[in-house]
Amino acid sequence: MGRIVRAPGDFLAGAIFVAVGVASLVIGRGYRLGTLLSMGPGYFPRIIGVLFTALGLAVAIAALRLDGERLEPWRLRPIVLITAAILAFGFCLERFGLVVASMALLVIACLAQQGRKVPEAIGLAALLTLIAWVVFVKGLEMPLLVWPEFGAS
Amino acid sequence: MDLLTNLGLGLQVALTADNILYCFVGVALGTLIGVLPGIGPVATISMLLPITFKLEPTSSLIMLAGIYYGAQYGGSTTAILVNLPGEASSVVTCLDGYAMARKGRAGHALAVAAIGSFIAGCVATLVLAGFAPPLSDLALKFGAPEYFSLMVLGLVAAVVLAQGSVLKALAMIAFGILLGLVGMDTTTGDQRYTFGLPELSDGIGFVVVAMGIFGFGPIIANLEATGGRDIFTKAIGKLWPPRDEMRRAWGAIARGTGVGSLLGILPGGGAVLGSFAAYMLEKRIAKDPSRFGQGAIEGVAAPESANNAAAQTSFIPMLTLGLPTNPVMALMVGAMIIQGIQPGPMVITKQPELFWGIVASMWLGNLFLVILNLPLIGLWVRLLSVSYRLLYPAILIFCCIGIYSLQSSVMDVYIAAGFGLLGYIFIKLKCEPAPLLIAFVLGPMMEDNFRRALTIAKGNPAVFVSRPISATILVIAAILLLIVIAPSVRKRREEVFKET
Repeated sequence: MGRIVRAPGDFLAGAIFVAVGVASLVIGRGYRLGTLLSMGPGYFPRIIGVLFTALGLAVAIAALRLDGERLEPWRLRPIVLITAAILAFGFCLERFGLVVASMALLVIACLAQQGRKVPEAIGLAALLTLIAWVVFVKGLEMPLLVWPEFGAS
Repeated sequence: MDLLTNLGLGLQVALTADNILYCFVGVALGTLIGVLPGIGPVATISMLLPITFKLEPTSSLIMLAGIYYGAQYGGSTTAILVNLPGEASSVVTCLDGYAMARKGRAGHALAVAAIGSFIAGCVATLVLAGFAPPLSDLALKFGAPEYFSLMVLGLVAAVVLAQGSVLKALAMIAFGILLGLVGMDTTTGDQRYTFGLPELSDGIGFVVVAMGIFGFGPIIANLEATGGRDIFTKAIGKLWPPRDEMRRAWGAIARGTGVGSLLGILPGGGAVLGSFAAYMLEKRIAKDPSRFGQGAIEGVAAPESANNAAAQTSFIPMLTLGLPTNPVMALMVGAMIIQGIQPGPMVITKQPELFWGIVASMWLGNLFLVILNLPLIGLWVRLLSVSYRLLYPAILIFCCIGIYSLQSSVMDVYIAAGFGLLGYIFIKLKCEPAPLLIAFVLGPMMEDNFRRALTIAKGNPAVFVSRPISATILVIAAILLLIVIAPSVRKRREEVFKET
């Protein structure tokens, strides 16, 4: 009994490549092509977009014909929590300052690893936040908002 | 002698108090991240880039270079003691290095790795000093068509460097070029793929891409995996190996240095490929290949010499042609551009103190590294017990603040989070990200030279094959591509990458 897709990982990679390649062609359809002598902004992207889509197709087709590795299971917890942690940092930094942003990042990120307790996460977060403050704000004198600004003060 | 005057100039630059300090900081940091698995030179250099913008260009490049070759020293420590490669380039060192450690000869393995690295480093510095000037003279004759062809060669070579499927590596290159096109078209001023976001009109920052893919992505992947490691720190034993062992090691060091220096210069080469090739060579020429994997001293000496030599000679194409041959060099190109230096053949003639300062600093750095890695080895061994539980949150906060500080843009942090996800997907789907980063840096230069070449040639695409130098480069690229695609070589290449 043969699987239809013999290399699921490669097939998925090919599918992603084709999707991005086609998207680049669709988004770039309005860019002026120009001529070989005087190329417009759309010329080179069009070449690369077509090439990328074709290569993606080739990867996907090869995945149907040649055996490859099965997909490993994907663990959702680190994917979601690490991404959320970084986004939270970005969200908080200019609104509430470095301390809040860094604590948010680190506490969420610590919880991404299995078997971690909240108090330990908060402790580590506080320590690293302090180090970050010493290095970047004190040491390198980066103009970062440190604490939230209240009212008009 | 010209070379001597130049090296003298370089030493003057490298031996100022500031630069000695930055060189030391660079190699110490390099050793540190080399020892620690889970963080590599690409992520570290991108983290430190925002800090280096305040430094003199020469000082910052001396420090960044030190991180790269320093990591090659440190990587061997982890490979030998923990059987985990601290760096990708130390994968093969695990085989015989750990076997030696299990037999109570960890000290011998560590010593031969450090001695080999030092010799390789000194030789590679001379290779760099000797080869770079003539190469840059040649490159001064290059016009837009030659540069375009050279970049094609560089990208083809990046495929050779990549592990796994050639097709996927080629697709990753196209992906990288495409990402590099985001932003304002420099010739016409039109916005491309910016989705109306003003933050994207200058393009996606290469540090943002590098930190996302090489910093955040691996963290997500590492957190998936569980399980502890078995550290061999109890008995390092005597450092200096017995005489007959050492005699065998000298030959391996010499061969490793040669292989590494050569593979470092070639586009697509670098520390990883150098160490694999050197190990293969040793095994092939050994009288009794079965000793390998059981703790053969050559199996440590050759790859460790090779990766250090290659790390240094890979600066040659970057400094003379402006052509990055691996992700670290791609970051260096980015660092130079931000410092206002256009990488290329003009660097040697216009800024001799920069070029020769870096060359001379490498020799100094290697001296530091021997001291750091032999008498002080115990210090690094203790660091091995630093748990990933502490390490990855620290990487995250340093990366996040670093990204934001590039241009005080929260948008960059969000974009990096996206690239982190992408990096994780690449790891899961076994898509090697190195070609993507190289193509990302080369993409805009490639488009620029492509356009200029055709404008000069009045729109005739034959320009790329009618000019002799350009044609030669393209032929080399074509041959290289054919070799990689050819089934027999492909099998051999997989063999090399899957170790033995």
